[in-house]
Amino acid sequence: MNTTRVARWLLLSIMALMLGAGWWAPCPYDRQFRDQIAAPPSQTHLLGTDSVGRDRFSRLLYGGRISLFLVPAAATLSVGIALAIALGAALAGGWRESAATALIDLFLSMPWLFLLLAVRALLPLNAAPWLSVGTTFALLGLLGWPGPARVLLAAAHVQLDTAYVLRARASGCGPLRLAIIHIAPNLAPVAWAQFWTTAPAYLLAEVNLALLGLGIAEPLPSWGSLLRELQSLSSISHQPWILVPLGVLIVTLGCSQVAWKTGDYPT
Amino acid sequence: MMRLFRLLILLSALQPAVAQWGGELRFCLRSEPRSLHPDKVDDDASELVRYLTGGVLVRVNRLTQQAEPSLAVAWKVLDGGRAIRFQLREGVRFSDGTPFTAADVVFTLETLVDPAIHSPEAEPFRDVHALAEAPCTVMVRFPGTLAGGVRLFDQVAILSRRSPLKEAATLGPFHVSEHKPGAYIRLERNPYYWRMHAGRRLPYLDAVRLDIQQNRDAELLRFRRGEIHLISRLGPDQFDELARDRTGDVKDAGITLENEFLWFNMSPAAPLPAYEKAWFNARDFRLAISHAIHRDDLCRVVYHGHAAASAGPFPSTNLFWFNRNLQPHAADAVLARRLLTGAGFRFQGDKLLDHQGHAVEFSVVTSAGNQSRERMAALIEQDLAAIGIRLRIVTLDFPSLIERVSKTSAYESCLLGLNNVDLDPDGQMNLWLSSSTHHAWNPMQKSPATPWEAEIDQLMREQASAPTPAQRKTLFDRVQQIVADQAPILYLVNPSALVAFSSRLRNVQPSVMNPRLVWNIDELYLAGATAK
Amino acid sequence: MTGIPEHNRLGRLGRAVARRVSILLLLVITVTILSAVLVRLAPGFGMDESQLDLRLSNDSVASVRTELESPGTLLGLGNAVARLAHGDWGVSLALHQPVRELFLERSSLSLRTFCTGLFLAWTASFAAAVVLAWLRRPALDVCAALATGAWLCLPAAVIAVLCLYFQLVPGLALSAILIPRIFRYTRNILQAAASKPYVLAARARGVHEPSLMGRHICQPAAPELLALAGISISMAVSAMIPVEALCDSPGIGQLVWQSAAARDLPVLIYLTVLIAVVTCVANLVSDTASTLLSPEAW
Repeated sequence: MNTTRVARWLLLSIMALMLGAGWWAPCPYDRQFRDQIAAPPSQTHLLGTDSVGRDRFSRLLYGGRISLFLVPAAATLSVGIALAIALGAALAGGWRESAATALIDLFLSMPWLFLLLAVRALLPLNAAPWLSVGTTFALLGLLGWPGPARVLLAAAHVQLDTAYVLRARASGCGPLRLAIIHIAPNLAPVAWAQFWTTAPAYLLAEVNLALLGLGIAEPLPSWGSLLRELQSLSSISHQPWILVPLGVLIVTLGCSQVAWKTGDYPT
Repeated sequence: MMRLFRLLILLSALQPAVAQWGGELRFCLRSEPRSLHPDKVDDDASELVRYLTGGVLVRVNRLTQQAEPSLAVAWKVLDGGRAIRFQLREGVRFSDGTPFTAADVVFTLETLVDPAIHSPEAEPFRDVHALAEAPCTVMVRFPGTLAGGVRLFDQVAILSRRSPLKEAATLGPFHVSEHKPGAYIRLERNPYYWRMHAGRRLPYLDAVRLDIQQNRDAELLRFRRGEIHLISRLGPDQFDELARDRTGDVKDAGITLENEFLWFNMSPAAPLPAYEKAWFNARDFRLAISHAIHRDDLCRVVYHGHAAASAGPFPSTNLFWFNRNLQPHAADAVLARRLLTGAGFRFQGDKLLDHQGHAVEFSVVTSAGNQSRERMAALIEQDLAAIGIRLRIVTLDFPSLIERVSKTSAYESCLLGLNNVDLDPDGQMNLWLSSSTHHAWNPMQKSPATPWEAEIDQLMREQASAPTPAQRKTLFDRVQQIVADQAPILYLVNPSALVAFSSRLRNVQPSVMNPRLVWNIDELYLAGATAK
Repeated sequence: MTGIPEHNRLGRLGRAVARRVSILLLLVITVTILSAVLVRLAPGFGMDESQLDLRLSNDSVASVRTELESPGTLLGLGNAVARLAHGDWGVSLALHQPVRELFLERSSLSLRTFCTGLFLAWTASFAAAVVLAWLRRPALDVCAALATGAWLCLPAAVIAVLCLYFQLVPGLALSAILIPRIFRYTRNILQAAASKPYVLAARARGVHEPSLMGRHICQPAAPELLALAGISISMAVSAMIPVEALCDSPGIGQLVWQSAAARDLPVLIYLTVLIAVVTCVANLVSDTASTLLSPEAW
C-alpha cells in the first residue's frame, strides 16, 4: 500500500481523535478519580491515571488539540516571517541586507524570556487559559524567526545566482514576482526543514516555560505537559505507559512529513 | 559448643556499636549558598553551612526541642526577662587557635545588627547591650522583656574579634576548607572543637562534602550509587521508590513544622472589583472554602499519606506550642453550602452566584515548578467546583509571585508554604501583627481593620513579654483559636520529613526540624571509616 | 568573465568586514540597553525570597527592596556602564560575588562543554549526511529522517537525565540536542546540491564518488553550510543553558538560568553582552568565510 496514503490516513485519524475528544474521550480531562491515583492501564483507563487521578487517555486526546494546532501555527508564523525577511533582504541587497542581518543578530542575542514574562504579566489573572496559552505561542512564533531566517537568507543567495533567476530578471520580472513565483518555491524544502525542526522545539519549549509559569495552566492538558512526566527516569521505569504521548507525538510528526511530501525528504 | 557459639553471637549483638573515627560524609545542597558569612544567612543552603560550622551559646536540641548548653555552660535570666547572663565554657578556641572569650560574644552581637547586612537574626538584638563582665561571663541586656530570648542564640554563630581569618574562623565542629562555586563546599573538622568523647575531640568525621545539586533525580541516582550518604528532603514519589527498592534506610521522621496554606487578598488597596473584596472579607465565605477542601485527599494524593491535615500555625510536633483543642476544618460540602447561603450567596445550577448575580470565580497564584503545590491546587480546584466555585490556577515564577503578594497586591488568593524556622510564636510575630509587611492577607495596616485583628495584635504583644511560658501559651492558644474561627489563612497540610540515609551512617536520629539528619553532626560516624 | 583583480577583491572584503565589525559594536550596545530595559520591566525585578522572611522588619524589607531595585534605575544602569568601561563588572545581587569572578570560574567548563558538544554534533551530523548523500538509498533516508524527527521530540530534561544516569559529560548532552537539528539542515543542503544537473552529468561521465562528493557537492554547498555553522553556534549557546542547568554543571549556562530566575541584572547584562558578541562574531566569521568561498566573489 502506498506509504503516503497510509500516512495520510493515520494522520487524519489522529487529528479526528483529537478534534473529537469531546466525543471519544471516556471522561472530562479534569475529572479526578481520587481512589485510583497513578493507576496502571485498565479497561476503564486505557493509559492509566496520573498523579491526581485524571484519565491519561482523555488528557492525551484533549491535549492534542492545543499541540496539534497552536504549535504548527507558531512554527508557520516563525518560518513565514523568516522567509519574507530572507527573500526581501536577499533581493534588496546592499545596506538593506546588512540591516536585516543585523536585525537577525539582534534578535538572536536578546533575552526574550523577559518579554514573555512581561506580556503574560499584563494579562489578567482570571484570563481564560486559551488566551494565556495562545499569547505564549503567538510570542514564540513572533520571536522565533531569526534562526530560520539566517539559513533561508543563505539559501536565497544561492538561488539568486541560478540561471532561471537570471533569465527571469532578463525577461523583466519584478522583484515581488521573482520572490513569490520563482524563488520561494525553490526555498520550500529548506523552509519545510526549518518548520519540522521548529515545531517540536516549540512543543518542548512549553515544557521548560512551565517551570517559569509560562506554560499551559492547570488543569488544561497539552502534550508538552504530558511530556513533563518523562523528566523522572524512575517514573519511566515504573510506569512505562507514560511514554505513549511521546510515541504519539513521534508518529504524528513522522506521518505529517510523509503525508505532505514537503520535499524535506524523498518518499 | 553450639550453646557457646550462640552466646557469643548474643553478646556481640548486645555490645554498643563502637564509633569509628574518620571518613568523609557526602550529601547534596539544593542550591548555591548565597553567603558563607554567618550574619548574612537568608537561604537554606547557607543556613546549613552555618549550622555545621558555627558555634553557638545555646543549641536547641532538634529532638527534645529544649535549649541545651553549648558554648555557654549555664545561663540565668534576670530582671524579669530583660537580661541574660551567660557563663561561657573555658579553654575553647576557634578553628585557627584563637582563644574564645566573652569579648567575641559582644563583638558578634555588635556585628549582627549592622544595618548594611540586613541579617534576619538581627531584629530581636537591635538596641541590645552586651557586656563582657569577665573573660567567661557575658551579660546581654534587651530593651524590653523578651520571653524565650535564650533560644534566639541558637541562630547566632559566634565570630572572632581577633582572628585574622575573620568569619572563617569557627567554633563549630567543622570549618570551610574548600569552596568551588557551583560545584561543592568541603568542610574539615575543627581541630579545636570543644566537645570530647573518650578523650578525643569530636566530630568523628574528618570531613563533610556538600555537593551543589539542584536536580532531584540526579541526587537520587547518586544516593542509589552510594556516591552520597543521605538525602534529608525526599519527595513522596522518591520516598516510595526508595522504600520499594530497599535502598539504604528510608524513614518518615514525622510531621514537620512546615505548613502549606491558602489565603485571600483582603487588602483594601488591592486592584480587585468591590464585589470580590466583599467575598474575601466575608468570614463565612472563607470558612465555606475551608470546609469544601478535602485535606485528607491532599495528604493522601499529593503526599502519599506522608502529611497531616493542618489545624493552625503549629502542628502537633511542636510539643509545647501546639493547641490541642484545635481540629482541622472537616471536609463538609453541605456545611460549606449552608455557610455560603447564609452569607447571601445562591446556587444557580452548578454555579455559585453572589447577591449581585456575579458568578463566583477567582484565581489562585502559586509557585511554578513546585509539583506538590500544583497538585494541591488541582485538587482544590475540583473541591471548589463541587460547591459551584470556579478556581483558576495561575503558576508564577517566584520573583513574579513575590511581587504580586508583597508589593503590588495584584492577586486574589495565594497558595504558599512556610518553613517554620522557629518553634516559638515570636518567630511569627510579623505574620500576625497587622502593621507588618508580612501580614499576608492585609499588610501594613495603619490601624487594625477588624476587631479580631486588633485582638491578635494585643495578644501577640502580651505573649512576647509574658513572665512565664504557661501564660504565653494561654495567650497564643487564644490567637490560634481566633485564626481558626476567622480563617484569614486556611491551613491545609503539614508535610512529613521524608529522609534517607546510608546504612553505613550511624547515630542518625532523624528530626522533623532542620537540619533533619545532621543536627547531631558531631555524633555521626561512618562504619568502616579510617581516621586520617 | 574576466576575474576581479586580487587587491580589489581583498579591499572589498576588508571594507565589508570593517563595516560588519562596526555594526557589531553598535549591536552590542543596542542589545545591552534593550536587555537591561527588558529585565527591568519584567515582573519580579527587585524581588527576592528573603523579602518573605518573617524575621525581617518592615524597614529591612524596604531596604532590601531598594537595594535590589537600584541597579535597574537610570543612574544604576549608567553606573554599571561606567564601571564596565573601567573593567569593573559589578557584583551579583543573588550570589553576592563579583560578576567577573563568577565568569572566570565558570567559563572554562562552559567552553569545554560548548566545544565538545558542537564538535561532536557537527562531526556526527556531517558524516551521517555525507554517507546518506553517497549511498543514495531512499529507505535509509526515510529512516534517518524519522529517527531524527523522533529525536527532536525528546525534551532536553530527558536527555540531561539520561546523561546523568550514564554519567556522561554535559558536552554529550549538548551534542545530543544539536545533532538532529544540524543533521536535518545539513542533509537538506547536501541533497539539494546533489540533485543539481551538473552532478548527474559528472556521475554519468564516471567521476569517482569521493571526488564527486568533495568537489561537486560539498564545495558548492559550503556557503550554506557555513551559514548553518554560524547559526549552530547560536543554537549551541541557547541549548547550553538548559543542559548545564539540568545536568547541574556549574558553567555559564547554569549561571544564566539562575540569574534569569533571580532577575540578577548585573549578571544578566554581561551575559547578554557575551552572548551577543559570540553570536555576532560567529555570524561575521561564517559570512566572511562564505563570501570567500563563493565563486561569484572572485
